[in-house]
Amino acid sequence: MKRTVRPIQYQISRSILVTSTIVLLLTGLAYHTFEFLTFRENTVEKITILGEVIANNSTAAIAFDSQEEANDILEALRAEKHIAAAILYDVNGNLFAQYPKDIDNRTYPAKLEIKGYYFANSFLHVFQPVIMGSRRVGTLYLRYGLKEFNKQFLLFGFTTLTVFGLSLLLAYFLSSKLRKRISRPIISLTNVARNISINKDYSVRAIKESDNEIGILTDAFNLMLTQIEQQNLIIQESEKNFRTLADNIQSLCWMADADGWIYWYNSRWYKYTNTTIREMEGWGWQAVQDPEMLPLVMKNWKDSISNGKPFNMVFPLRGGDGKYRPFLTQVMPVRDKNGKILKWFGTNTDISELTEVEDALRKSEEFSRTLLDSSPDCVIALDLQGHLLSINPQGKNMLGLNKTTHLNGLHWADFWPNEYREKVIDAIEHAKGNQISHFQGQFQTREGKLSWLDVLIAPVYGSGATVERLVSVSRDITRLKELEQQKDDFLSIASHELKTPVTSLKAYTQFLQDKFEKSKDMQSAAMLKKMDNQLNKLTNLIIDFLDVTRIEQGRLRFRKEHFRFNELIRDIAEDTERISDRHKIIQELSEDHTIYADRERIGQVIANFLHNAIKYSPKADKVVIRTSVNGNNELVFSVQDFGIGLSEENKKKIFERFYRVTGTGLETFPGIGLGLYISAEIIQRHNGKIWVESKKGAGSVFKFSLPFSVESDLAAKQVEHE
Amino acid sequence: MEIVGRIFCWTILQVKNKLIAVSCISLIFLMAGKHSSAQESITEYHVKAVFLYNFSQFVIWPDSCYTSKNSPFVIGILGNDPFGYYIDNIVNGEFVYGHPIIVQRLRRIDEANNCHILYFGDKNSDRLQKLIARIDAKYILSVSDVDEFTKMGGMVEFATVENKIKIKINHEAVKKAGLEVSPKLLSLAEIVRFENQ
Repeated sequence: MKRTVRPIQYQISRSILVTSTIVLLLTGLAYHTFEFLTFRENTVEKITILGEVIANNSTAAIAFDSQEEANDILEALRAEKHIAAAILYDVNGNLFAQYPKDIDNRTYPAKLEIKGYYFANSFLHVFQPVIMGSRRVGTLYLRYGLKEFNKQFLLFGFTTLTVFGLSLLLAYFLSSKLRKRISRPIISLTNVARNISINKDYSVRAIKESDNEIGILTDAFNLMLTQIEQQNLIIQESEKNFRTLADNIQSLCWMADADGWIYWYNSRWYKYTNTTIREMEGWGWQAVQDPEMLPLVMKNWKDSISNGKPFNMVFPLRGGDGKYRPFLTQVMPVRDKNGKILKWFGTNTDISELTEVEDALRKSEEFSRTLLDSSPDCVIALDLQGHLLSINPQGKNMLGLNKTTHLNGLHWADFWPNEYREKVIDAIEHAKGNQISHFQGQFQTREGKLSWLDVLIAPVYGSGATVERLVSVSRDITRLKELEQQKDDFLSIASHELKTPVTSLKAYTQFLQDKFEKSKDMQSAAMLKKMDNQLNKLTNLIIDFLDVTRIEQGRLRFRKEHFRFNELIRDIAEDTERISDRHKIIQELSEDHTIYADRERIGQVIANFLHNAIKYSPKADKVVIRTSVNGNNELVFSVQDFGIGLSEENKKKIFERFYRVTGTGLETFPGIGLGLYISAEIIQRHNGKIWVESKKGAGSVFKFSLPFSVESDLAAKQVEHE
Repeated sequence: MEIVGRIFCWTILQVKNKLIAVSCISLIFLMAGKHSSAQESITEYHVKAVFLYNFSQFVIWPDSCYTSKNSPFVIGILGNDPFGYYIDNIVNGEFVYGHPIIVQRLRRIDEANNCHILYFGDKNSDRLQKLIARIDAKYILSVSDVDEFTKMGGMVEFATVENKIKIKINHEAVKKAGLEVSPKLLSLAEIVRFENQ
């Protein structure tokens, strides 16, 4: 105890003594120096004044050449016993008078000065000029002995040292008394702290004895103790929570020290193994291990302990019923902030049920794989960029790939001829945007075989509805395409073959109609007129078929020219109005431009729009046609009807070949659905756009846009002027 | 010694501090005087000339004895002049409380009224006594080297004792003339009482 107490008291004493010594030393030194300097200054002043008086008194003696008088004056210095010598010189430095009379030769100053003083050889030497009026007539030299003064100064120093020593003694005595006052509360605080650290009793409090810094320290110490106590409670609570949690989770869990010595298991461990802590403690758990697995488990576990890596293993543990069940065992090291392993925390999870589920899953996956492998379609998994990830056997076969071909880095578009690559990339982009996309293309396998594929690319969703991959399903439609080609060929030939007889029929019919009209057989003439109408329809149908076959075969040709768009509209509108008694065509043609296009084909589109408008609005009495200009310098033509309108689904497909709007009540509208297909082809080939805005039951607006240029406008105008 | 004396004579003309030079020379010549009677008188009057000047420094004249601030301090030499140009050299450029010192040679006593120091060159005691009686004005320090001058009513007398020039002062007469003699001068002079006054 005493050994640990001593330092603070010792330090306080030492501080006081060191401080006192330094202060005393400095004070003494300063005082001594001051005294010394003051004494010298005073002496110099005193002797200088004395010199002045003597010099002043000596003026007449020198002036009137009275050495006796001068000697008398100097003799007066006998009263000042420290004056060792006084010498009066005339203006030329010749000795005039001196005191004492029997002066030693060595007493004369080495050098005669006019005025001033210096200290040398324990004497003060003073020179004073003798002035008469404004003239110096001589010099007085005084020699003042300092031996007495030095003696006094020594005595003074000795006294100072004595006082110094006594003061230090007093300081030591006082410090030994005072240090107790400072150290006592600190020592008592230290004792409390020591007791707490030995007994771990944080409920003890230090007693505050004053309001000074030590009082504040005591308060802070007590506050700290309170906080430690509270934190201990929290830790205990947290520990309790942990145990409760550990005892109630499904897994078995346990904790081991850094060397793998297990010191705690949760209650489930004991329940499952039907053991006690005494049996299991440390390495006792080996008793519930499968003896066959034990060596491997021990090896892995000891490896983990030595290299600090988490332990993961599945091994069986024997239950209380004697049966072994597979457990997934995971052990994690718990480290301190320096990375040193403090303990190991382990869990054993019964995975006997999990293994069953895994089996089922594996079977299911195998089934899916078999399904995919036996699919007649080419199924390719793509990443989001369109690179091949995997492909089923049929796919490899269709694409002409070897079994060993590496898919790494191959892009789906790379398999396709140039004209289709854009379609593939488009389809991939659409699929990434959550849309199923679809195209057909002619494909040449690596073996050189040409075949048609119908390709569908669709998104594959991961978790959270994000597109993770794409799947491409391609079906060989070469056979289908051949059939289609045969049909188209047939259609083409049939149309051509039909056209000639129908033209003949039309000529004969008109001839007969004329004849009956002339013979006034009006009934027959009316019948023939109807026949002519039917023939017109048949002709149009054949023309449509021919157009379609031309489109299909890529033989649709245009004869482009400059013409005024509105003129064409008016012509067509006039013709169309004739075929319907009911409908009035309202023209709101705000824009008039010259365009460069095939006048006849564009007229065909306009006519198709108008015919459709009339046909599909049997109850309405008007159709509105408009022209306008959009922001891309395109002329927009629209035909608005007030008929049955279109459903969303129909709107998408209306421009497809042979598509006809179907549904209840629509059977009354004849036609084979080629008009809009042909129109769309014509407009698209003119770099225009065609579309419809419609709502079921609210009528439709069919529109197309065509580019026009200011140059073509001007060119047309010039032609007109000429 | 002669050679040294000549050198110093020459020096008198050269050295600015004439007073000091003269003092030194006088001392040297006083010592050498025994051997050369021809130069003895010159030396003696050199010292006396210096002393005449020195009186101006140890006697205090009242302000009222000057006609103006810049009016001169006059040393008058009545009758025979034993100093010659030496005294002129000595006083040249010297001042008494701001008054320049000049030397005037007088023939008659009635010209002496503006003098501050009056030296009587006449050696005849009877005539001297009459002249002293004729000094009307106050504030004139009368000086002579005639024996018993102080007893005749004169103020300052140069007396030669053992080859040294001593000063005798009739203090009563000086005080009567309204002048004040410095105690320093008094302490080295012989004070003479003039019983018959």
